[in-house]
Amino acid sequence: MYRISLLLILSCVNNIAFADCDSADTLGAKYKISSTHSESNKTTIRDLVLWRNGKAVAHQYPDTQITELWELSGNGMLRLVRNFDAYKRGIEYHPGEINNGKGDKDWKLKYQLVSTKLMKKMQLEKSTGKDCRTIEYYSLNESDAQIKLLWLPRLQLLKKLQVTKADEIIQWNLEDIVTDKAAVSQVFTSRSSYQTTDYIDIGDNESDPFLLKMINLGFVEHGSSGFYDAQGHALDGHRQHKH
Amino acid sequence: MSKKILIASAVSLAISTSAFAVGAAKPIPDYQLDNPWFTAGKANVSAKDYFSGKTKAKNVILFVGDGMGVSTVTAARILEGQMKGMLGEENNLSFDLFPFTGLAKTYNVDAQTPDSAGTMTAMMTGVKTDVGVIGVDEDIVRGDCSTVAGNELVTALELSELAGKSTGVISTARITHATPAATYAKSADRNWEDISDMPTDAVNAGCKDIALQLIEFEADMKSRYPGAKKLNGIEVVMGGGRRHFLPKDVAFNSPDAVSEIEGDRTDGRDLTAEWESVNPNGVYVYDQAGFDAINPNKTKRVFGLFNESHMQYEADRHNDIAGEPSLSEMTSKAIDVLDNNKRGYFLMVESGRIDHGHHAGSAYNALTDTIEFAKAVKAAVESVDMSKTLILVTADHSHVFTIAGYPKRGNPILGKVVSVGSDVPATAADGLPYTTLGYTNGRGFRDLGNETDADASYGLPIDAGRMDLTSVDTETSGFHQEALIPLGSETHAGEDIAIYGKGPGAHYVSGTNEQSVIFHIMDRVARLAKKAGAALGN
Repeated sequence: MYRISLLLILSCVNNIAFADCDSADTLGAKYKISSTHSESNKTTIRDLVLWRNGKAVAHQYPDTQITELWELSGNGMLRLVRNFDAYKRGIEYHPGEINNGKGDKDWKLKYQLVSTKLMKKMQLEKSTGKDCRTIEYYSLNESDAQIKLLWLPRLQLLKKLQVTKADEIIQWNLEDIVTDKAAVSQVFTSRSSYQTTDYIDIGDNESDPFLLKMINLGFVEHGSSGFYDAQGHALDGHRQHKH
Repeated sequence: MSKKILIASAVSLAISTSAFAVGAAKPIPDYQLDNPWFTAGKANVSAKDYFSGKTKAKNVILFVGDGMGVSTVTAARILEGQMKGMLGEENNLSFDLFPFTGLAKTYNVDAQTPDSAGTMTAMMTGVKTDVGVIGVDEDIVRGDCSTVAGNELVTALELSELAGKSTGVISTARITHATPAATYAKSADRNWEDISDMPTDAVNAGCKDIALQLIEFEADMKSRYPGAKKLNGIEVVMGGGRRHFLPKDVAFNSPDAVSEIEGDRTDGRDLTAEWESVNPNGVYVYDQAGFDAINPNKTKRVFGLFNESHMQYEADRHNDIAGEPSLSEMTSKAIDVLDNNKRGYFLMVESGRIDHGHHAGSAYNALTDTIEFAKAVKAAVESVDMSKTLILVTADHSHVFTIAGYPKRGNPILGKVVSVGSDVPATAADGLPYTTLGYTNGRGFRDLGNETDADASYGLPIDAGRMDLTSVDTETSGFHQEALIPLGSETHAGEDIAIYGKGPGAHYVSGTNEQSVIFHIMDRVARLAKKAGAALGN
């Protein structure tokens, strides 16, 4: 399994022209994310496509037809538009509505899916290849998880990430890279035409069927984001309150 | 029994404080007459003598607390009092002291529980209409541009313009949001705030987005009323919603932008620049510094757009990038600009984010915005000539917000219920403590500590139902109250809301009314339609 994934990654990296190495800000990266629970030996798989277009990053979840668009604003804060592709509608979250109200300034986490803090904690074991094909091998042993990361420094993309815990193994595999600028642009321009609503305003729009669904059901949860914080813990939207 | 004995007996009885004894000389005993509740109430009634019989006002100010139901007023009053070191319940918000009060039935023509568009249209035009539409009657089909023509309603602000009065619109929401929009716009859908929000067929059919209607208000009015010689456009506009006035082009971003591209307009028009070009004697501002620099004695017109979307909650205002004025600051500045007109003025002031605090399930934000709203009312009362100015304070609708349980007097309004005679939180049948304030529906519990932005909860999942609050400080700004029914957003409520009146003609505020009566009070007291008609040569 690991060998196949690695070959796939190497294959897609080899397809990148050297000129594209300088296009880290404009690309698409398609990931397959698997989670295997050791007790049940059950594996769940889902897809995520990371799109970058300058100061905007999109996380597309094809399974749920939700695309989260993150924008870096002038003050360094992030703004989120959660696009519901099936409805061609978007819900806007302003900086203060993200991350328990603290806002979010971790642009790199959205941009490359692994926080820079985590990468700084990891140990660089070796580096292979040159230029675009440079691959860096990182590892980290935490008390509750072992993390291995294969990293493409020129593109600032993770190629493979494996988090091994006592009860679960999570793997991210880069399956394809899109460098066609027109295709990348289309991802953003198509969603910019969606009708958007501030989350604040949905309570005043009960006669809009889509928003009424939002009022009645809340936003459609999409499960763990798969992003990892400085401790290697998965970040998701399901923070539990303390009792 | 002789008279002398009777008197002696009465004195004896009074001294012994047996007020209800047979033969007492005074109908009400002295200790009752001297009771502070009694003397304050008597003074209150006496103060109303001044206002009865005054039926005409030159100026009208309509204050609207969006979503400010009666329970919100009560809780805000207590919170403000407790912030001042009082027990709280005895405190009064500024408009609590207004001499006249009535109730308004808020339902829309097609909805038992209303929205701001229909309710504000009723207040501004005297005609109840459907939910979600602005300045048009119930014959409209929401979202159908072709049904607007012939169903437009004239507003109190428009009549004031025709009459030659100065006019102003202030809101802490987007200035294109339903409540402020209902003062100047006609729209088949409250969400048509800019051209990008509209369906193509509506644009092609000639319907204008709400932001454009604001900018072209004077021109549009002149085309509707060619004989209107005193009409000169809205003098003061302040609020949020800059994105609806700017092109979708990063080059037009303001320093206050939070989005990569601040503007939403897809027609390439910069309406702020267009406003400046047609109002060379006006000032366009977008931040606190610009606001502070306005000299109201020299400035003829003000266009302030202080946020890309809604302005900040009052409690969160310090976190704005470029700084924003408070509602009370905007109110004072607006009055100082408007009162230069000898014909008087009409001003609408909305606290738009009381509603948003409730939608997010945050009593703290809803109540602190209500307190600031009351400060704005106080600022108005103190700066205008009350012998010539009618001030009405009301809400458009209520929220499912309750003050419940049996907390003892002075119990922190944001706290857990502590019963009379107890010092520990009471527990419910499930053995857990509970808060005085709560919501029937919504997103439910959230403990965000010292967070001051209610909307911070929107990025988190719904958590309705009972929680163990034993170790939670429910009095912090970031606490969101429990909700019974899980919904993505807490909802409006359908009960009546209060109307408060002060100044000439305020005595018309009484009883239980259709909400549309508010227009008729303003019209009658300021003779808006009559003066507008006269100005048109009728």
